[in-house]
Amino acid sequence: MEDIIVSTSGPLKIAEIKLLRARFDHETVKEWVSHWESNEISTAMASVEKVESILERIEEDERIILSEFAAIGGRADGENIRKSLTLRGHNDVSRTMKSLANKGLILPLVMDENNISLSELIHKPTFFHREFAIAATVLTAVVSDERIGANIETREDLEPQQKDDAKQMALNFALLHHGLKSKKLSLTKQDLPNRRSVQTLAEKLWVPGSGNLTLSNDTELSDFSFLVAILFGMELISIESSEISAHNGEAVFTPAHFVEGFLTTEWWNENRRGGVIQNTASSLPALRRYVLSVFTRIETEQWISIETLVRYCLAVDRAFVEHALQGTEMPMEKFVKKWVKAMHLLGGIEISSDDNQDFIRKKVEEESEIHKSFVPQPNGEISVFFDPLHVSQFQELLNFAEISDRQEKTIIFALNSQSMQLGFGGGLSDKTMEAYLSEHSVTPIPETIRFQISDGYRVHKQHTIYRHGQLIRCRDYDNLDMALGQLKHENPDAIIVHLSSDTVFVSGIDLNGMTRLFSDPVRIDQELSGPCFKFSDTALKATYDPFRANISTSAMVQNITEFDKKTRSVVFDPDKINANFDGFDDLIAFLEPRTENGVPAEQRVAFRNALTGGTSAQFRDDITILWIEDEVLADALYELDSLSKVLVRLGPYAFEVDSALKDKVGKELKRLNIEMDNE
Amino acid sequence: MEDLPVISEGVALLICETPSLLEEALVKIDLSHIPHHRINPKAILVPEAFAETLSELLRKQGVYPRVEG
Repeated sequence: MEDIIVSTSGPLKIAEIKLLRARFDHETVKEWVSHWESNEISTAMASVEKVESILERIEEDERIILSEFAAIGGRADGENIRKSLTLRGHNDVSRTMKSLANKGLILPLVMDENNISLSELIHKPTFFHREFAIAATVLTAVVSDERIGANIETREDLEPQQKDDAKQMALNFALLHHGLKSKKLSLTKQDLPNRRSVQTLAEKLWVPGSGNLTLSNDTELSDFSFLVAILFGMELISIESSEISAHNGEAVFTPAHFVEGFLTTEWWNENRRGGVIQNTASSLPALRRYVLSVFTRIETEQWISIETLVRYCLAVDRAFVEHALQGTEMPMEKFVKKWVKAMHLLGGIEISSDDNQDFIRKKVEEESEIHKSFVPQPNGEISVFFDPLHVSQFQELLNFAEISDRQEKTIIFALNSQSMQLGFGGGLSDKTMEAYLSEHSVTPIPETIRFQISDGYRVHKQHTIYRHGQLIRCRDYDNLDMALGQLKHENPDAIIVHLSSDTVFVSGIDLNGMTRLFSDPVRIDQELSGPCFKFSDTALKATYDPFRANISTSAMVQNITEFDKKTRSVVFDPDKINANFDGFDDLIAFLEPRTENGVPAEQRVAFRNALTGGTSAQFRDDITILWIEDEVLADALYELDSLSKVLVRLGPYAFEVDSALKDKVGKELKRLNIEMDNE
Repeated sequence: MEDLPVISEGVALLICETPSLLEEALVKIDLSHIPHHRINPKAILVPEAFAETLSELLRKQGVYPRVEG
């Protein structure tokens, strides 16, 4: 049957209903007109009196559905209407919707196949997966009714539990992420965290309700693997060769991020016990998201029981739930209970209980202000109180202080030299550290802590690495001075480190900018050195210009030669060469591009001799040379078994013969009719 | 050989407060796999690609260098 409806939204007009006439079966027609043969059903539907008289006879449940259609303009997807009413606390409305369809009060706009009757269509499982519309007259008749409100069992008189849990969890995640940045977590062959590797990571973690994680039993191991799984979901860690490590860079630890990590992670399985950390790639993440979707669409802000949530999850899409749980042997009740526990721990929902029954509520987002919550002590400890704490506060503190104790309401951080050095190494300075502590501390920072920080920074400054820069070498001091003066003028933030009278290190300016500062042309030294060696007549000795060498070359020159600065000459040391190079060829490959006109033959001989410890040479008079003037003949002779054993080929025409075998070779050649000219 | 100013690009520098601090650091770490050049008693140069490796080696030995640039 063709799609014959012209309009795309709103209720059906009489002309459209006329076109639908063929879709009405006996039962529908009976509702509106007295005879099956009558074609006047559309006229009946256009009659306000007739519509009102029919609506007077319908059930309350049916009225709810019609008012839902009316509320959204007279046309809607059947499945959406069904779900929406279910989530507003009305019992499963499938049967009622089918009854309305039978009566012609809601009309399916698209049939599945040709010639299918309405009564057949109603029994199909896909019946609701299509658009339905009501007649314009029906819409007018019910639109005056109020939309029937929600009918959900809720509680208003409950208080949420444990408000600080989310802060404890945020601290856990920050600690775990911080720990995994500096130390990888190895897994055993059974995908369990390696005990030694996990100990230091877990000892400062705290699970609300359980306290410090000692990993002494399956539950605690399971809690630990849950935390790791969430970090996987938040894409803050990754695994390679059974080792888990954290990505560098900043991470944000808020309940919204934890919830997203929980919904996404494939490294957690609600049905698993113990501490296995394994990617399960199951349908459970989709089910987690489904439960959240049902929960957020339930039209109430009040407390609902977990049983209610389970009931709604099953009512909205039982087929999906059953499919997702297939093979897990886990009932939906158990899954939802685990979901509630996890979501509460992560700060996604609020939980309360009454009469041994648990209730949950959507989290009321409060914009928490940042209050001062640190109390620095003269002994270098900083007590941090949870109540006024904002989760973002301790993230920075973790970068330069260690947790020495953790209780339900307080954490004690300790400043020690190593933790401070880590903080300085991460880019903090004494000033930023002090300013941060002052900003968040209730009491003034004790002098002892100020001293500890400034002393730590003094030690830290003893070693400095400048990561990017250029080395400038210039024998003309005046020229160098002028260029640097200009640089300071143009770019006051550039870093200039004087290394000697003719050498400086500069950072914070690009190559073009630097080149421009010199009035003379400049030689740019990049990957490879220019020719910096020039060999003299003396074996293993060369003049060397350090200004033309790059760092790798300079480093190697330091390793394999004695350098005389005054004469700018180097003497190569064979023992050091053997220690740094893989033989003669390796050395020549290093020297050749760095030497003006290449390494001379005399020096090659000298190097070869020096590296091999001297090679002897001798004149031999026990050898005779056999010369065959025809190269083709020479080739053929060399293939003969009798000759190839006694001849050593020296070239196309020449063979070496042991003088003692000379006669034997002569006889063989004679046998082959080859005349010897010099016999 | 020419005497033009030379600019070597892509260089990182480790500089210590005193020569003995550098000596101490060089004893602690194994630089055999990093091309390096001791340019003066307090400083060594490495190609900038090795700056992070150098800093990592130092950190492993409990020396936390200030990293700039």
